[in-house]
Amino acid sequence: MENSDVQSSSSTTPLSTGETYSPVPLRFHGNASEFFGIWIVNVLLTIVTLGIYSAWAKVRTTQYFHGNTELDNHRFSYLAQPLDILKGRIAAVILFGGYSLVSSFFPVAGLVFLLILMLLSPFLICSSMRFNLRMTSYRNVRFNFTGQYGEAFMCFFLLPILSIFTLWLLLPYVFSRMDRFLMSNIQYGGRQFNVKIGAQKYYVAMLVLMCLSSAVMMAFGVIAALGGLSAETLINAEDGTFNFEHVSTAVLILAGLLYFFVINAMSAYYKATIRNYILENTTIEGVASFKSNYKFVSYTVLLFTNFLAIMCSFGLALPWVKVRMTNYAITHTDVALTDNKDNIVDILGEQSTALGEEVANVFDVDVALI
Amino acid sequence: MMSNLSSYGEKSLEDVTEHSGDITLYNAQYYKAGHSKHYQTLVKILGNTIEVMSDGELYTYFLVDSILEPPLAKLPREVRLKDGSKLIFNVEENIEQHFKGRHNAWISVLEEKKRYIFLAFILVPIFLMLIIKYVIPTTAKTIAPLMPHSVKSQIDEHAIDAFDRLVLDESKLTNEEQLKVTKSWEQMLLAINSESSEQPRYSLLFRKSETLGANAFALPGGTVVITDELIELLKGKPEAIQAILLHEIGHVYHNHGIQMMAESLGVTLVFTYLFGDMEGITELFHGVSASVIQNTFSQSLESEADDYSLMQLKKLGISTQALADAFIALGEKHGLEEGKLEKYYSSHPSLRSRIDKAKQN
Repeated sequence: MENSDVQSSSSTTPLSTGETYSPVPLRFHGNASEFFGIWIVNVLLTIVTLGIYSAWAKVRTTQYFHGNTELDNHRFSYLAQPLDILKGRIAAVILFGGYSLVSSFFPVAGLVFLLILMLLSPFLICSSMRFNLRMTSYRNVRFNFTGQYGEAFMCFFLLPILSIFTLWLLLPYVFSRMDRFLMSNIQYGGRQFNVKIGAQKYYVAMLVLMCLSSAVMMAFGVIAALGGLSAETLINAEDGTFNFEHVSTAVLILAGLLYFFVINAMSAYYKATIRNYILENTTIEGVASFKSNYKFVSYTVLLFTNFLAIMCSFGLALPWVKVRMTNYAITHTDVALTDNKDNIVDILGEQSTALGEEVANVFDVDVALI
Repeated sequence: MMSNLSSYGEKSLEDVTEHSGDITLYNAQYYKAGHSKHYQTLVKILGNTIEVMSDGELYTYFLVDSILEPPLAKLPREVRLKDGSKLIFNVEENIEQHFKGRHNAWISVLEEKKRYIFLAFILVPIFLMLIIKYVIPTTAKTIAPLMPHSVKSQIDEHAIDAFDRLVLDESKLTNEEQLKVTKSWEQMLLAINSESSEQPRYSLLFRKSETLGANAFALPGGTVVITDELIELLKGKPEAIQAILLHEIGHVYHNHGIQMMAESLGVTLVFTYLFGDMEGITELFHGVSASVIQNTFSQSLESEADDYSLMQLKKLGISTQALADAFIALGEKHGLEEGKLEKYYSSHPSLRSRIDKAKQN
């Protein structure tokens, strides 16, 4: 019966090219109060079960965000099994605990451990990306990541080290290589993401950031001087320590806030520029094209208010922040699809383990996709 | 995978005709296995079978082979079918009735009912507080003595090496000045060591440090460092110097160095584990709260070292005023007044409270 027709369409059907891309709606249905309940209950269960439940918590959280993301009237799903994640978590805790113990008691051995971890990190990045994407499906077809250790080693280990010897001049190029590696190795149902990006935009963004930061630093100096503070009054002449006697607590807090505002603004600028650039130049040939319209001002405001909310709520605002961030990302992304969207075939068979992903998470290997 | 499908297909016709249970119809989205094609269909669940009409074909599945995903918030309900196909129902559709006893809904009840959320809202901060205030410090206290001495002296070696390179210079004191302090140090050690057999091996080092100023510190393995600046400050008050050295010995005696390391490791682990996947924004929060927590912990260790010093002073027949004198001298140099904020961001209790305590003894 129909099964022959299902089989014949697998992997071989060529997609018709020259299709027109038409915009489709992309919506996020999650809301903060709903997610707060999920989050706080999951944190409680994690504490009560001495951490074991965290694997289930992670699955539910990701399911919530995937399931509430609707593209062209279909929702994403997250397929990971909690037990896989739990195994990864146990490995990560052992590795992390071992590393912390070794590095705090034997700094030299800790450095060796760190070097091993750095050599391992390209592998962790690849397996983390692979796991996360394979566990993500849209219209019952899964994503995949095809990046290999060799290129990851180049992008995340060799080039960053090389850039030190170029006085960081190579760094924007390195960042562009990292992003291209992460994005262009994604597949949806065997269809490769096509990413055409160069390093120019990265250099321009970095240059702007450098000008911005030096301008801000000068402004800080001027303000401090106007306020009657100078290096002489701030630094104790006798023992070189900071002398806060001349500065009131209020001024200190204000300066701290200003500092974080500037940090947020700078990261907002970088993220907005680079994300918009990457998505503009990304397609799945014959299937999808993307567009991102992050705005510097609104994104800065978003980051800074998030920061304030978390500080003032002692962390309880985390779910709200997470929902807001996702909402911003989704409302500032446009996707256009062709009619080929109905002809994608899932070519993945076996499951993969969460080991790399979890280890990468605990060691703060940043593999966040844009 | 596909052969399964056909066998269901054949069986289905008989089942439809034979079964006479209640028939229920649902609107659903049908996603074929491994294919992005989807159909808006009418699904018929009767007795033990699920029938899906799509594209003019009838697909039949057994209810027992199908898995209803646990409910989550207001997400549409998902049923995974045996051949990898998927059905998605609206939340309003009551399809749970067909999966009685086979799916877990209790967790979503906890997540959605106001009273459980409120309970979690109250319990999470309480538990976190208990973990940070009691569980981690107690664990740190219990495991700290297990650290073998050889490891601790290695830590000392590494640490002194680093300190010498970064902030410490050779002492400029004359031999005579050093000898005075060393003598009283050795006398104290004799007195302390006579009471118990198992004692760490203490050693005293003199260093000059512009960065640290008048200061003294102890390393886990028993190395105590005192700066020229402190000896200068307490000139003519040998008992105050003794009181300070006893305070440092107190740190070693109680294994405070190792405790600090264990506790900071514990806090990092707990925070990373609970909030690790919440992205960069937590890092700052983590940094601030972790340093507040650690400073509270360190303040309690300082008090413990003060107590040790006061106790030993009394045993040696020295007035506890000696410790107070040392703090008064330090206070005159660094300023006694502290802002409210500093109380939380300082690793030591306020000098005033420490002086008061020394005087009370």
